[in-house]
Amino acid sequence: MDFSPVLQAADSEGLRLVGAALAIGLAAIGPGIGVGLVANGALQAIGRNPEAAGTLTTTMFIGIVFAEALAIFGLVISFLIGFGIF
Amino acid sequence: MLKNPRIWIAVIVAIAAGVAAKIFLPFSAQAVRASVAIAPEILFNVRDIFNVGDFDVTPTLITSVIVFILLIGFAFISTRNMQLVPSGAQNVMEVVIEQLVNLFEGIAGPMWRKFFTIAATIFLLVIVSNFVGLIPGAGSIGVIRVDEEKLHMKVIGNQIHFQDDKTHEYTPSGIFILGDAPEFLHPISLADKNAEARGEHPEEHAALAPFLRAPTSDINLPLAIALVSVIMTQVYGMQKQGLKYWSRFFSFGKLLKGDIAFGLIDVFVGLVELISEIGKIVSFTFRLFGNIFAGEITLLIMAFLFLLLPFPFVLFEFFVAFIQAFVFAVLTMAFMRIATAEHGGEEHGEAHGAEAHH
Repeated sequence: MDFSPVLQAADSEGLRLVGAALAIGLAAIGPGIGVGLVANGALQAIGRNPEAAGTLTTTMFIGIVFAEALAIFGLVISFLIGFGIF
Repeated sequence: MLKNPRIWIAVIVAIAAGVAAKIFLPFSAQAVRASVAIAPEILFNVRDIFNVGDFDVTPTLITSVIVFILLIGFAFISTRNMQLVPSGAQNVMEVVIEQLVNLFEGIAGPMWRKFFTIAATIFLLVIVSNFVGLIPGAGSIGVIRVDEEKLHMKVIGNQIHFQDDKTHEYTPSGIFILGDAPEFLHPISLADKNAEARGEHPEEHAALAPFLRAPTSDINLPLAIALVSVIMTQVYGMQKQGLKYWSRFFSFGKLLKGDIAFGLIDVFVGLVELISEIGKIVSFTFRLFGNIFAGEITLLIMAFLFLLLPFPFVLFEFFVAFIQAFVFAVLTMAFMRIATAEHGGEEHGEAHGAEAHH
Protein backbone atom coordinates (compact mmCIF):
# COMPACT_ATOMS: atom_id res chain seq x y z
CA MET A 1 0.00 0.00 0.00
CA ASP A 2 1.06 3.53 -0.69
CA PHE A 3 1.07 5.53 2.53
CA SER A 4 2.72 8.64 1.12
CA PRO A 5 -0.51 10.74 1.08
CA VAL A 6 -1.02 9.93 4.75
CA LEU A 7 2.56 10.85 5.58
CA GLN A 8 2.23 14.09 3.67
CA ALA A 9 -0.98 14.83 5.53
CA ALA A 10 0.89 14.33 8.79
CA ASP A 11 2.55 17.69 8.29
CA SER A 12 -0.62 19.41 7.27
CA GLU A 13 -3.12 21.68 8.96
CA GLY A 14 -5.92 19.12 8.63
CA LEU A 15 -4.48 16.49 10.92
CA ARG A 16 -3.86 19.10 13.61
CA LEU A 17 -7.51 20.13 13.48
CA VAL A 18 -8.58 16.48 13.69
CA GLY A 19 -6.42 16.15 16.78
CA ALA A 20 -7.98 19.22 18.35
CA ALA A 21 -11.50 17.96 17.63
CA LEU A 22 -10.68 14.50 19.00
CA ALA A 23 -9.22 16.00 22.17
CA ILE A 24 -12.39 17.79 23.22
CA GLY A 25 -14.71 15.18 21.71
CA LEU A 26 -13.23 12.28 23.66
CA ALA A 27 -12.76 14.37 26.80
CA ALA A 28 -16.47 15.23 26.85
CA ILE A 29 -17.71 11.60 26.91
CA GLY A 30 -16.86 10.75 30.52
CA PRO A 31 -17.93 14.05 32.10
CA GLY A 32 -21.15 13.89 30.08
CA ILE A 33 -22.02 10.56 31.69
CA GLY A 34 -20.86 11.85 35.07
CA VAL A 35 -22.99 14.99 34.94
CA GLY A 36 -25.97 12.83 33.95
CA LEU A 37 -25.42 10.59 36.96
CA VAL A 38 -25.12 13.57 39.32
CA ALA A 39 -28.34 15.13 38.02
CA ASN A 40 -30.05 11.73 38.20
CA GLY A 41 -29.10 11.32 41.86
CA ALA A 42 -30.07 14.88 42.76
CA LEU A 43 -33.46 14.61 41.04
CA GLN A 44 -34.24 11.34 42.81
CA ALA A 45 -33.28 12.90 46.13
CA ILE A 46 -35.46 15.96 45.45
CA GLY A 47 -38.33 13.67 44.47
CA ARG A 48 -38.09 11.85 47.79
CA ASN A 49 -37.48 14.92 49.91
CA PRO A 50 -38.74 18.07 48.16
CA GLU A 51 -37.98 20.30 51.18
CA ALA A 52 -34.25 19.76 50.70
CA ALA A 53 -34.37 21.00 47.07
CA GLY A 54 -32.38 24.18 47.80
CA THR A 55 -29.39 22.49 49.44
CA LEU A 56 -29.49 19.61 46.98
CA THR A 57 -29.42 21.95 43.97
CA THR A 58 -26.31 23.79 45.14
CA THR A 59 -24.59 20.54 46.12
CA MET A 60 -25.55 19.15 42.71
CA PHE A 61 -23.88 22.09 41.02
CA ILE A 62 -20.68 21.50 42.96
CA GLY A 63 -20.76 17.83 41.97
CA ILE A 64 -21.41 18.71 38.33
CA VAL A 65 -18.53 21.15 38.37
CA PHE A 66 -16.04 18.51 39.55
CA ALA A 67 -17.09 16.19 36.73
CA GLU A 68 -17.04 19.05 34.26
CA ALA A 69 -13.47 20.01 35.21
CA LEU A 70 -12.18 16.98 33.27
CA ALA A 71 -13.90 18.16 30.11
CA ILE A 72 -12.35 21.58 30.69
CA PHE A 73 -8.86 20.07 30.75
CA GLY A 74 -9.75 18.42 27.43
CA LEU A 75 -10.84 21.83 26.13
CA VAL A 76 -7.51 23.32 27.21
CA ILE A 77 -5.59 20.61 25.35
CA SER A 78 -7.86 21.13 22.35
CA PHE A 79 -7.11 24.87 22.34
CA LEU A 80 -3.39 24.21 22.68
CA ILE A 81 -3.41 21.81 19.71
CA GLY A 82 -5.87 23.78 17.61
CA PHE A 83 -4.08 27.10 17.88
CA GLY A 84 -0.71 25.48 17.25
CA ILE A 85 0.87 26.09 20.64
CA PHE A 86 2.13 22.49 20.75
CA MET B 1 -47.21 36.02 30.76
CA LEU B 2 -47.91 35.28 27.11
CA LYS B 3 -51.37 36.85 27.37
CA ASN B 4 -49.72 40.24 27.79
CA PRO B 5 -50.17 41.94 24.40
CA ARG B 6 -47.07 44.11 24.87
CA ILE B 7 -44.83 41.03 24.64
CA TRP B 8 -46.35 40.08 21.29
CA ILE B 9 -45.94 43.64 20.01
CA ALA B 10 -42.28 43.52 21.03
CA VAL B 11 -41.80 40.16 19.29
CA ILE B 12 -43.46 41.41 16.09
CA VAL B 13 -41.38 44.61 16.11
CA ALA B 14 -38.18 42.58 16.61
CA ILE B 15 -39.04 40.25 13.72
CA ALA B 16 -39.94 43.21 11.48
CA ALA B 17 -36.66 44.95 12.37
CA GLY B 18 -34.70 41.78 11.54
CA VAL B 19 -36.42 41.36 8.16
CA ALA B 20 -36.00 45.08 7.35
CA ALA B 21 -32.31 44.90 8.24
CA LYS B 22 -31.86 41.89 5.98
CA ILE B 23 -33.58 43.65 3.08
CA PHE B 24 -32.29 47.22 3.35
CA LEU B 25 -28.77 46.94 4.78
CA PRO B 26 -26.06 46.36 2.17
CA PHE B 27 -25.37 42.74 2.94
CA SER B 28 -23.22 40.93 0.46
CA ALA B 29 -22.35 37.34 -0.34
CA GLN B 30 -18.67 38.13 0.18
CA ALA B 31 -18.90 38.44 3.93
CA VAL B 32 -16.19 39.35 6.36
CA ARG B 33 -15.19 36.38 8.43
CA ALA B 34 -16.39 36.55 11.96
CA SER B 35 -13.49 36.98 14.30
CA VAL B 36 -12.79 33.65 15.97
CA ALA B 37 -9.61 34.10 17.95
CA ILE B 38 -8.73 33.40 21.56
CA ALA B 39 -6.69 36.57 21.83
CA PRO B 40 -8.97 39.60 21.53
CA GLU B 41 -8.42 41.76 18.47
CA ILE B 42 -6.40 44.92 18.92
CA LEU B 43 -8.57 47.93 18.07
CA PHE B 44 -5.89 50.59 18.31
CA ASN B 45 -2.74 51.46 20.17
CA VAL B 46 -2.77 54.31 22.66
CA ARG B 47 0.38 55.65 20.98
CA ASP B 48 -1.52 56.27 17.71
CA ILE B 49 -4.06 58.56 19.36
CA PHE B 50 -2.42 60.31 22.31
CA ASN B 51 1.22 60.07 21.14
CA VAL B 52 2.23 58.70 24.54
CA GLY B 53 2.67 55.21 25.87
CA ASP B 54 2.62 51.91 24.08
CA PHE B 55 -0.52 50.06 25.00
CA ASP B 56 -2.90 47.99 22.89
CA VAL B 57 -6.58 48.63 23.47
CA THR B 58 -8.80 45.60 22.93
CA PRO B 59 -12.61 45.38 22.86
CA THR B 60 -12.57 43.35 26.06
CA LEU B 61 -10.58 46.09 27.80
CA ILE B 62 -13.19 48.67 26.80
CA THR B 63 -16.06 46.52 28.05
CA SER B 64 -14.17 45.70 31.26
CA VAL B 65 -13.87 49.41 32.01
CA ILE B 66 -17.58 49.89 31.22
CA VAL B 67 -18.49 47.06 33.61
CA PHE B 68 -16.26 48.44 36.38
CA ILE B 69 -17.78 51.91 36.01
CA LEU B 70 -21.31 50.45 36.04
CA LEU B 71 -20.71 48.36 39.16
CA ILE B 72 -18.74 50.95 41.14
CA GLY B 73 -21.08 53.74 40.09
CA PHE B 74 -24.16 51.79 41.09
CA ALA B 75 -22.63 50.78 44.42
CA PHE B 76 -21.75 54.42 45.07
CA ILE B 77 -25.17 55.81 44.10
CA SER B 78 -27.12 53.19 46.05
CA THR B 79 -25.14 53.62 49.29
CA ARG B 80 -24.44 57.36 49.21
CA ASN B 81 -27.57 58.39 51.09
CA MET B 82 -28.84 55.33 52.93
CA GLN B 83 -32.29 55.52 54.49
CA LEU B 84 -33.97 53.18 56.97
CA VAL B 85 -36.85 52.85 54.50
CA PRO B 86 -35.07 52.25 51.20
CA SER B 87 -36.17 53.74 47.92
CA GLY B 88 -34.82 53.89 44.39
CA ALA B 89 -31.30 52.59 43.82
CA GLN B 90 -30.87 51.57 47.46
CA ASN B 91 -33.98 49.41 47.14
CA VAL B 92 -32.57 47.60 44.09
CA MET B 93 -29.24 47.05 45.82
CA GLU B 94 -30.93 45.67 48.93
CA VAL B 95 -32.98 43.24 46.86
CA VAL B 96 -29.83 42.03 45.06
CA ILE B 97 -27.85 41.61 48.30
CA GLU B 98 -30.76 39.89 50.04
CA GLN B 99 -31.16 37.39 47.21
CA LEU B 100 -27.42 36.69 47.23
CA VAL B 101 -27.42 36.20 51.00
CA ASN B 102 -30.30 33.73 50.73
CA LEU B 103 -28.47 31.93 47.93
CA PHE B 104 -25.07 31.70 49.61
CA GLU B 105 -25.84 31.45 53.34
CA GLY B 106 -26.44 27.71 53.31
CA ILE B 107 -23.35 26.87 51.25
CA ALA B 108 -20.70 28.88 53.03
CA GLY B 109 -21.18 27.49 56.52
CA PRO B 110 -20.48 29.32 59.79
CA MET B 111 -18.01 31.82 58.33
CA TRP B 112 -20.33 32.95 55.54
CA ARG B 113 -20.13 36.66 56.41
CA LYS B 114 -16.42 36.63 55.72
CA PHE B 115 -16.71 34.84 52.38
CA PHE B 116 -19.82 36.67 51.25
CA THR B 117 -18.04 39.90 50.22
CA ILE B 118 -15.68 38.11 47.86
CA ALA B 119 -18.22 35.64 46.48
CA ALA B 120 -20.86 38.33 45.89
CA THR B 121 -18.30 40.61 44.21
CA ILE B 122 -17.26 37.76 41.92
CA PHE B 123 -20.90 36.94 41.17
CA LEU B 124 -21.83 40.52 40.27
CA LEU B 125 -18.65 41.13 38.24
CA VAL B 126 -19.01 37.91 36.26
CA ILE B 127 -22.74 38.20 35.59
CA VAL B 128 -22.54 41.83 34.43
CA SER B 129 -19.51 41.00 32.29
CA ASN B 130 -21.36 38.10 30.69
CA PHE B 131 -24.45 40.20 30.02
CA VAL B 132 -22.42 42.96 28.33
CA GLY B 133 -21.47 40.46 25.63
CA LEU B 134 -25.16 39.89 24.89
CA ILE B 135 -25.96 43.52 24.07
CA PRO B 136 -27.26 43.59 20.47
CA GLY B 137 -24.38 44.68 18.24
CA ALA B 138 -21.65 43.41 20.54
CA GLY B 139 -19.55 41.07 18.45
CA SER B 140 -21.15 42.11 15.17
CA ILE B 141 -20.26 45.81 14.83
CA GLY B 142 -16.64 46.79 14.56
CA VAL B 143 -13.73 47.55 12.28
CA ILE B 144 -11.97 45.35 9.76
CA ARG B 145 -8.56 44.04 10.75
CA VAL B 146 -6.36 42.42 8.13
CA ASP B 147 -3.65 39.84 8.71
CA GLU B 148 -0.76 41.77 7.17
CA GLU B 149 1.66 38.86 7.24
CA LYS B 150 -0.64 36.42 5.45
CA LEU B 151 -1.49 38.98 2.77
CA HIS B 152 2.18 39.91 2.26
CA MET B 153 1.43 43.58 2.81
CA LYS B 154 1.75 46.41 5.28
CA VAL B 155 -0.80 49.11 6.04
CA ILE B 156 0.87 52.48 6.64
CA GLY B 157 -1.46 55.43 7.05
CA ASN B 158 -3.93 55.44 4.19
CA GLN B 159 -1.89 53.22 1.92
CA ILE B 160 -1.32 49.53 1.51
CA HIS B 161 2.26 48.60 0.69
CA PHE B 162 2.68 45.22 -0.94
CA GLN B 163 5.88 43.24 -0.99
CA ASP B 164 6.34 44.00 -4.66
CA ASP B 165 6.40 47.73 -3.78
CA LYS B 166 3.02 48.52 -5.29
CA THR B 167 0.90 50.83 -3.16
CA HIS B 168 -2.84 51.13 -2.96
CA GLU B 169 -5.16 53.63 -1.34
CA TYR B 170 -7.62 52.24 1.16
CA THR B 171 -10.26 53.55 3.51
CA PRO B 172 -9.10 53.11 7.06
CA SER B 173 -11.13 52.54 10.20
CA GLY B 174 -14.67 52.57 8.88
CA ILE B 175 -17.43 51.02 10.91
CA PHE B 176 -18.54 47.71 9.51
CA ILE B 177 -21.41 45.43 10.28
CA LEU B 178 -20.90 41.69 10.24
CA GLY B 179 -21.60 40.48 6.71
CA ASP B 180 -20.80 43.84 5.14
CA ALA B 181 -18.38 43.38 2.22
CA PRO B 182 -15.20 45.35 2.88
CA GLU B 183 -14.74 47.57 -0.16
CA PHE B 184 -11.11 48.29 0.54
CA LEU B 185 -10.35 44.61 0.17
CA HIS B 186 -11.14 44.67 -3.55
CA PRO B 187 -7.86 46.38 -4.51
CA ILE B 188 -6.07 43.71 -2.45
CA SER B 189 -7.73 40.89 -4.35
CA LEU B 190 -7.11 42.71 -7.62
CA ALA B 191 -3.48 43.51 -6.88
CA ASP B 192 -2.49 39.93 -6.25
CA LYS B 193 -3.99 38.14 -9.24
CA ASN B 194 -1.88 35.06 -8.61
CA ALA B 195 -3.58 34.53 -5.27
CA GLU B 196 -6.67 33.02 -6.93
CA ALA B 197 -4.51 30.73 -9.03
CA ARG B 198 -2.62 29.59 -5.94
CA GLY B 199 -5.93 28.78 -4.32
CA GLU B 200 -5.61 31.53 -1.71
CA HIS B 201 -8.51 33.72 -0.71
CA PRO B 202 -7.16 37.09 0.44
CA GLU B 203 -10.51 38.13 1.92
CA GLU B 204 -10.22 35.23 4.37
CA HIS B 205 -7.38 37.02 6.12
CA ALA B 206 -9.57 39.96 6.98
CA ALA B 207 -11.71 39.64 10.08
CA LEU B 208 -14.11 41.84 11.96
CA ALA B 209 -12.75 43.27 15.21
CA PRO B 210 -15.87 44.13 17.22
CA PHE B 211 -16.05 47.22 19.43
CA LEU B 212 -17.67 45.27 22.26
CA ARG B 213 -16.94 41.76 23.45
CA ALA B 214 -17.80 40.18 26.78
CA PRO B 215 -14.80 40.79 29.09
CA THR B 216 -15.06 37.17 30.21
CA SER B 217 -14.48 35.98 26.63
CA ASP B 218 -10.91 37.24 27.07
CA ILE B 219 -8.93 34.67 29.03
CA ASN B 220 -7.25 37.31 31.21
CA LEU B 221 -10.27 38.35 33.28
CA PRO B 222 -11.34 34.78 34.23
CA LEU B 223 -7.71 34.04 35.09
CA ALA B 224 -7.49 37.12 37.30
CA ILE B 225 -10.72 36.27 39.13
CA ALA B 226 -9.62 32.64 39.53
CA LEU B 227 -6.30 33.75 41.03
CA VAL B 228 -8.07 36.06 43.47
CA SER B 229 -10.46 33.26 44.45
CA VAL B 230 -7.76 30.60 44.97
CA ILE B 231 -5.30 32.90 46.76
CA MET B 232 -7.99 34.24 49.10
CA THR B 233 -8.94 30.63 49.86
CA GLN B 234 -5.38 30.01 51.08
CA VAL B 235 -5.43 33.28 53.06
CA TYR B 236 -8.67 32.38 54.86
CA GLY B 237 -7.41 28.88 55.52
CA MET B 238 -4.26 30.35 57.11
CA GLN B 239 -6.31 32.83 59.16
CA LYS B 240 -8.50 30.08 60.57
CA GLN B 241 -5.95 27.34 61.15
CA GLY B 242 -2.62 29.15 61.19
CA LEU B 243 0.46 27.29 59.92
CA LYS B 244 -1.36 24.01 60.52
CA TYR B 245 -3.22 24.78 57.29
CA TRP B 246 -0.18 23.80 55.24
CA SER B 247 -0.21 20.27 56.72
CA ARG B 248 -2.98 19.73 54.18
CA PHE B 249 -0.32 19.81 51.46
CA PHE B 250 2.90 18.84 53.25
CA SER B 251 2.07 16.19 55.83
CA PHE B 252 5.30 14.53 56.90
CA GLY B 253 4.12 13.95 60.50
CA LYS B 254 3.52 10.21 60.26
CA LEU B 255 6.58 9.63 58.10
CA LEU B 256 8.86 11.28 60.69
CA LYS B 257 7.28 9.22 63.45
CA GLY B 258 8.46 6.12 61.59
CA ASP B 259 5.16 4.94 60.11
CA ILE B 260 6.55 4.40 56.61
CA ALA B 261 3.49 2.96 54.81
CA PHE B 262 0.83 5.40 56.07
CA GLY B 263 3.38 8.24 56.06
CA LEU B 264 4.03 7.75 52.34
CA ILE B 265 0.30 7.67 51.67
CA ASP B 266 -0.09 10.96 53.57
CA VAL B 267 2.73 12.58 51.58
CA PHE B 268 1.14 11.39 48.34
CA VAL B 269 -2.29 12.66 49.35
CA GLY B 270 -0.72 16.02 50.16
CA LEU B 271 0.87 16.13 46.71
CA VAL B 272 -2.48 15.37 45.07
CA GLU B 273 -4.07 18.19 47.10
CA LEU B 274 -1.35 20.56 45.95
CA ILE B 275 -1.86 19.63 42.30
CA SER B 276 -5.63 19.96 42.63
CA GLU B 277 -5.08 23.48 43.98
CA ILE B 278 -3.35 24.38 40.71
CA GLY B 279 -6.04 22.47 38.82
CA LYS B 280 -8.60 24.72 40.51
CA ILE B 281 -7.09 27.78 38.85
CA VAL B 282 -7.13 26.10 35.45
CA SER B 283 -10.68 24.78 35.77
CA PHE B 284 -12.04 28.08 37.16
CA THR B 285 -10.44 29.99 34.30
CA PHE B 286 -11.39 27.73 31.44
CA ARG B 287 -14.89 26.94 32.69
CA LEU B 288 -15.87 30.59 32.55
CA PHE B 289 -13.80 31.46 29.49
CA GLY B 290 -14.83 28.34 27.55
CA ASN B 291 -18.53 28.78 28.18
CA ILE B 292 -18.68 32.46 27.23
CA PHE B 293 -16.28 32.17 24.30
CA ALA B 294 -18.12 29.14 22.91
CA GLY B 295 -21.41 31.02 23.34
CA GLU B 296 -20.12 33.97 21.32
CA ILE B 297 -18.92 31.72 18.52
CA THR B 298 -22.25 29.85 18.51
CA LEU B 299 -24.14 33.13 18.16
CA LEU B 300 -21.88 34.27 15.29
CA ILE B 301 -22.27 30.98 13.42
CA MET B 302 -26.05 30.97 13.94
CA ALA B 303 -26.21 34.56 12.66
CA PHE B 304 -24.57 33.39 9.42
CA LEU B 305 -26.78 30.34 9.03
CA PHE B 306 -30.30 31.70 9.05
CA LEU B 307 -32.37 34.77 9.76
CA LEU B 308 -33.51 35.00 13.43
CA LEU B 309 -31.91 31.64 14.27
CA PRO B 310 -29.71 33.23 17.00
CA PHE B 311 -32.80 34.27 18.99
CA PRO B 312 -33.29 31.06 21.05
CA PHE B 313 -29.53 30.83 21.50
CA VAL B 314 -29.41 34.35 22.92
CA LEU B 315 -31.95 33.27 25.55
CA PHE B 316 -29.82 30.22 26.27
CA GLU B 317 -26.75 32.45 26.60
CA PHE B 318 -28.54 34.51 29.26
CA PHE B 319 -29.09 31.28 31.18
CA VAL B 320 -25.44 30.25 30.72
CA ALA B 321 -24.26 33.71 31.83
CA PHE B 322 -26.20 33.38 35.09
CA ILE B 323 -25.19 29.76 35.72
CA GLN B 324 -21.51 30.49 35.17
CA ALA B 325 -21.53 33.46 37.56
CA PHE B 326 -23.46 31.38 40.12
CA VAL B 327 -21.11 28.42 39.81
CA PHE B 328 -18.01 30.61 40.12
CA ALA B 329 -19.28 32.24 43.32
CA VAL B 330 -20.65 29.02 44.85
CA LEU B 331 -17.45 27.12 44.14
CA THR B 332 -15.35 29.89 45.66
CA MET B 333 -17.47 29.67 48.81
CA ALA B 334 -17.38 25.87 48.88
CA PHE B 335 -13.58 25.78 48.53
CA MET B 336 -13.23 28.44 51.22
CA ARG B 337 -15.45 26.41 53.52
CA ILE B 338 -13.35 23.30 52.90
CA ALA B 339 -10.13 25.25 53.52
CA THR B 340 -11.35 26.71 56.82
CA ALA B 341 -12.83 23.43 58.08
CA GLU B 342 -10.61 21.28 60.28
CA HIS B 343 -8.68 18.73 58.23
CA GLY B 344 -10.68 15.46 58.29
CA GLY B 345 -7.74 13.06 58.03
CA GLU B 346 -5.85 14.91 60.77
CA GLU B 347 -8.77 14.68 63.19
CA HIS B 348 -9.14 11.02 62.45
CA GLY B 349 -5.45 10.46 63.07
CA GLU B 350 -5.60 12.32 66.41
CA ALA B 351 -8.69 10.42 67.52
CA HIS B 352 -6.98 7.18 66.61
CA GLY B 353 -3.90 8.22 68.57
CA ALA B 354 -6.02 9.14 71.60
CA GLU B 355 -7.66 5.73 71.51
CA ALA B 356 -4.29 4.04 71.35
CA HIS B 357 -3.12 5.98 74.41
CA HIS B 358 -6.13 4.84 76.36
